[in-house]
Amino acid sequence: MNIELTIGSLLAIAALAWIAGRLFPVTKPLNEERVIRNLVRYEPDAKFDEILLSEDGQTAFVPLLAPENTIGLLHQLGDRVVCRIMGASEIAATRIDHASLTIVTQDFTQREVKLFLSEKPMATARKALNAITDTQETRHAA
Amino acid sequence: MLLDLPKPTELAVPAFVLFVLLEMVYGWKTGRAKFEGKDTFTSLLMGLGSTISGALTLSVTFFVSYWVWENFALFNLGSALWVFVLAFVLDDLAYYWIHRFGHRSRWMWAAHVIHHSSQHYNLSTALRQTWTGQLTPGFLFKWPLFILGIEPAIVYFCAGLNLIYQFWIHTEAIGRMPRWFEAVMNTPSHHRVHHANNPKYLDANYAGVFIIWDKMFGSFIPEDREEPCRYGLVRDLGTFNPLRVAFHEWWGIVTDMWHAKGLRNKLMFLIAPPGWTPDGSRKTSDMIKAEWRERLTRDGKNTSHEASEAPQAAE
Repeated sequence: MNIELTIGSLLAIAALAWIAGRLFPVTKPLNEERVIRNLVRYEPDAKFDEILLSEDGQTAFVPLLAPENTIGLLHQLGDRVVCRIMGASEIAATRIDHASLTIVTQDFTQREVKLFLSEKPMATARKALNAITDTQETRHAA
Repeated sequence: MLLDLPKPTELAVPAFVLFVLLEMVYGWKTGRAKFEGKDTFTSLLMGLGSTISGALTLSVTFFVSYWVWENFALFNLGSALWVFVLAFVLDDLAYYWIHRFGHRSRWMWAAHVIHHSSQHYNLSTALRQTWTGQLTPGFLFKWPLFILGIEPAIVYFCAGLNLIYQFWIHTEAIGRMPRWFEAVMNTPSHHRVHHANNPKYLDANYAGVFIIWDKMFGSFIPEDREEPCRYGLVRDLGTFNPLRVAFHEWWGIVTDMWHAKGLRNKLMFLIAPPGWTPDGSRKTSDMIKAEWRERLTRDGKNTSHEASEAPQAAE
């Protein structure tokens, strides 16, 4: 593998990716229908009452009734959706900055997920996060 | 005198680029192939990285292979045309087992997972290849060919042809091939099943060129028109970063082994199927399939390969 071939390959890769981006633009944001479809596919026994969609249409937070002590976190990556069912042990930290909630995860391929939420959904998300964190603390105490 | 054969995959690179472009335009016109810019970029960059890592370790690979052949070969089969044909078939059989272990042992999965990490299935996915295959014991599966007496250069030449064959089957643009072809050869239909993460399709169709190996060894599942393939991993990656794509499973193995209690558990994190944990807190593909069967049985539905009911594909 010589340097000319490597540079030529890099140029071809950049050109093909650019063409792909132009011919297949990502136009569909995350919506409730896509969240439900992906969540149920990933966890068929999931039960939930509400879906908190980030205002940028990239991420959704789902407080789950089942499986217990978990939340659903869905993130749009390109034109596809990455779904995680997370317990407290998978959440490294959370940061709240008046209109945004950042969830830092233990996931090597998805270090943190940011949601932009208005006041009421933010309160719901905080409550759900506190609930699963408290459960873990209770377990540790026991 | 050692054989000096060309490297088929390097010669095929311009054709790969051309066909990816053609599929892209065809998909844009007809909707029968889907791409996404960042996904395509990552897939192709993984392909380039794989070529570079292969080139960097080529001399070691050849040295070890020739050492086995020169010291342990039972016969001297030479380099007649029939030896190339025999090598092609036996290398494809070796590929089947490398590939099967690549899905069933986390050590080998750490390298192979890269190829399955796109949620798209198109010709660029074919080029999304590992950078770390040399760090797995996969090379051992080729040793029987050297011991039989086939010169390593012939085996690697045939392996290159095998990879070229597998390029065209990574597409949704082709439905089914003629019945006789589907019966013997690996096809886009068979390989879509292999790349699907629907529970029904997990751990199936490991073949490279000849699908007969799957039929012989019980791992064949036909594509079901009622069950659209949904591509990617059972736990999809949350990044397009090529470095994280390349090393995420290795990182997972290292951290799991580091935290595991006892030598047995540490070893199991390396060699057991992906998803294995001592407490069953994660799911292996066997567990996912068992849950899927249980759910269908509970709902009174058929779980055979001919069954048409299963979870809906999603995007």
